[in-house]
Amino acid sequence: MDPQKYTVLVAEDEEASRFLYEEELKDDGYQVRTAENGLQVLGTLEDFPVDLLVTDVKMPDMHAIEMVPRVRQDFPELPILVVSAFKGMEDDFTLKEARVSAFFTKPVNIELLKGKIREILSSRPPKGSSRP
Amino acid sequence: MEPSLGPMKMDRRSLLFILRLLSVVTLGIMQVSGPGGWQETPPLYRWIMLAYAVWVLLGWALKPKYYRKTTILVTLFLVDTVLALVLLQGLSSLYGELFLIYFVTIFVAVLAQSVSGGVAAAVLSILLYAFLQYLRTGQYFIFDADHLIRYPFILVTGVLCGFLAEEGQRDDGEKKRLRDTTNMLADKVDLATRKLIESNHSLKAMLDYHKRILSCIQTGIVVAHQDGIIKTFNDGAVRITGYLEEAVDNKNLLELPERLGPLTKALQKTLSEGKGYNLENLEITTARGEVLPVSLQTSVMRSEEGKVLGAIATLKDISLLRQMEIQLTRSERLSALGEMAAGVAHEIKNPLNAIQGFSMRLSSKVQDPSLKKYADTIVQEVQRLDTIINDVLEYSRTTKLSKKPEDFQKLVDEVVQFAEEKFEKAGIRIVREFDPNLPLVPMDYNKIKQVILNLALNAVHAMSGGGTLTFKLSVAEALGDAETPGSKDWVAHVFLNQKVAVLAITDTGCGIAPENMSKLFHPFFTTKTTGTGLGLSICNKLIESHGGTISVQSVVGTGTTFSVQLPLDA
Repeated sequence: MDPQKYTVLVAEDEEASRFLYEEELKDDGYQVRTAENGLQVLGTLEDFPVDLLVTDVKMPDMHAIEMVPRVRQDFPELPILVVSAFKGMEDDFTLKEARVSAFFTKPVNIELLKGKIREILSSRPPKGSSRP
Repeated sequence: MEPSLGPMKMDRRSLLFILRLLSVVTLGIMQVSGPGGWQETPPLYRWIMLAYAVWVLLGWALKPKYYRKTTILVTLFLVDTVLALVLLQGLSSLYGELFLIYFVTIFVAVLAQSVSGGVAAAVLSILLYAFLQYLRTGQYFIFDADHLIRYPFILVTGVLCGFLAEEGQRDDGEKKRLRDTTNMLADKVDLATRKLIESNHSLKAMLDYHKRILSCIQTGIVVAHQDGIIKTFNDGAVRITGYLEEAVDNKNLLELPERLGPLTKALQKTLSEGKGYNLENLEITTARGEVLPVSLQTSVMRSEEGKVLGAIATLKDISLLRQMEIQLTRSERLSALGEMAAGVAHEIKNPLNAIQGFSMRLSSKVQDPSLKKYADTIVQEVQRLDTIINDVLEYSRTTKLSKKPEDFQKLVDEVVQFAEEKFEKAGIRIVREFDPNLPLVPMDYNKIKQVILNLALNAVHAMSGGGTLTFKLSVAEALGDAETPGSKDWVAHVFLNQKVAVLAITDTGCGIAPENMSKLFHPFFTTKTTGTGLGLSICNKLIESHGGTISVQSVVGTGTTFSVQLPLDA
């Protein structure tokens, strides 16, 4: 698997965390795009081929419960990872229905997060494959 | 001779029968013992004698009511007279005085019970006597004084007997009337008495009923009359104030114990102002010296005309209500705290996320071991912070339970297995005492497991030098006060006699200092150098949310037992 061919979209309103994910994922060789809010996520997904979405739950304009179903509607195969400050998001019915691949709780163990991303992407062909 | 005059009360039939029998027997004896005896008596007379006897006996067979009829009495009298007459005539050889025989006839005449009857009987007797004498001597009158005196004698005897009998009867009638009146009066008195007794009974029952209400009601009821004298101090009032009825009853308000001041004042005011008061949140000191929150309500007792008769005070022990209020306030505070904690946690966790991530990143990038250690320390501290935040979140969160019947033994086994390594390391021996009859217990399995694990790990901390840790599972009957000294749970008081599953976790550790016992379940209380002090308060909260209780008994230097009681029928 060549991480270079995969694009990961990081959605996080907190600059420090966003920066952290970006640095870590770039270190591993992925193409990384970032978004600060829900609208940016939807826009980026429209404009660029994205292989995987890592998203925060609470963002200024949109909650993941609102955003994830919308993303799922347009990108039925896009793997989505949710990182939340709260435990128990995995029990959320809307997110379950939207087939979120994995949940992480802040402070997130970055190695586990990266491991999950690698696991998911290694079984998928890179770029654009998730586009409709 | 009159029945009612004799010492024995005899009805007319019996008397008549006896007299007539006497007559029959006398005539019979005269026949048998007369010169020549029975053999000499002509057969005709024997038959007449027999007929007379049968006739008299038949009279006995007659029902008593016929003896009141004049016709029957006259018939008896006439037939008797004729028969006796014939028999006497037949016994002409006899020596004795005929004259004496006529008393029998006169006696019979007396039974007519009137003077005229007596006269008639006497006249008839005289005629008979004269006739019999004629048959004997050939003359009706023997003109000597000795014989002549017999006629008026018979007459006087007949009249006298008739008169006496009539008087007796009159007496009897009056007596009867009197008796009737007496009976009627007695009946009336009887009826009145019965009615009185009945109404007395129902009054008593009603009184008893009201007394019972007064004594069984939980509310304390105190009644003071217009003059300030306490007239009612029911069992409820005794229970609440601790003062016995004797100490208060019939006393003036001014003489009541000083501790009952609020009650006294309220009653006095009610009496003097003629209006009731409603005093919530009052505190009185009981005879036992404890301060009790009560609600006090007074009302004026008025007559139908509106005159003030007295004042009624009702006292309610509201300590349970107070406790519930405190509990409610606490849970309200907790939920507010929960909301705040959740908000704060979110704000803290975001920076922590970056701090931890970059520290780990730093640790992996630097080569210098001491720099690496600095970065790792930051990571560790972030994780500690995270634990604290999670504990606070857990404590303040309203817990949603998914309860279903679970195997408590399996749960304990799993906890023991999970902490096995820690037990071994600390040199702790595990003892399991499971009641085989323990049914499935309704619970949120993961939450209870969290509680038991927490308690088990606390025990490990208490036994730094090793020891024995006993898990005892049993079924108990009640959540009694004495059983749960550490319990602050009012629910336990309300739902007494419920069946509960009890898990007692006993360690042989250092024990808990008495001064710390009451603080054990308070949030953020800890004697450990690490930890948030939220562990036991979370345990308590989880058990309480199951409707159960958690209690503790401890002896310093000997060990501690934590008991978790979970209701079985919840």
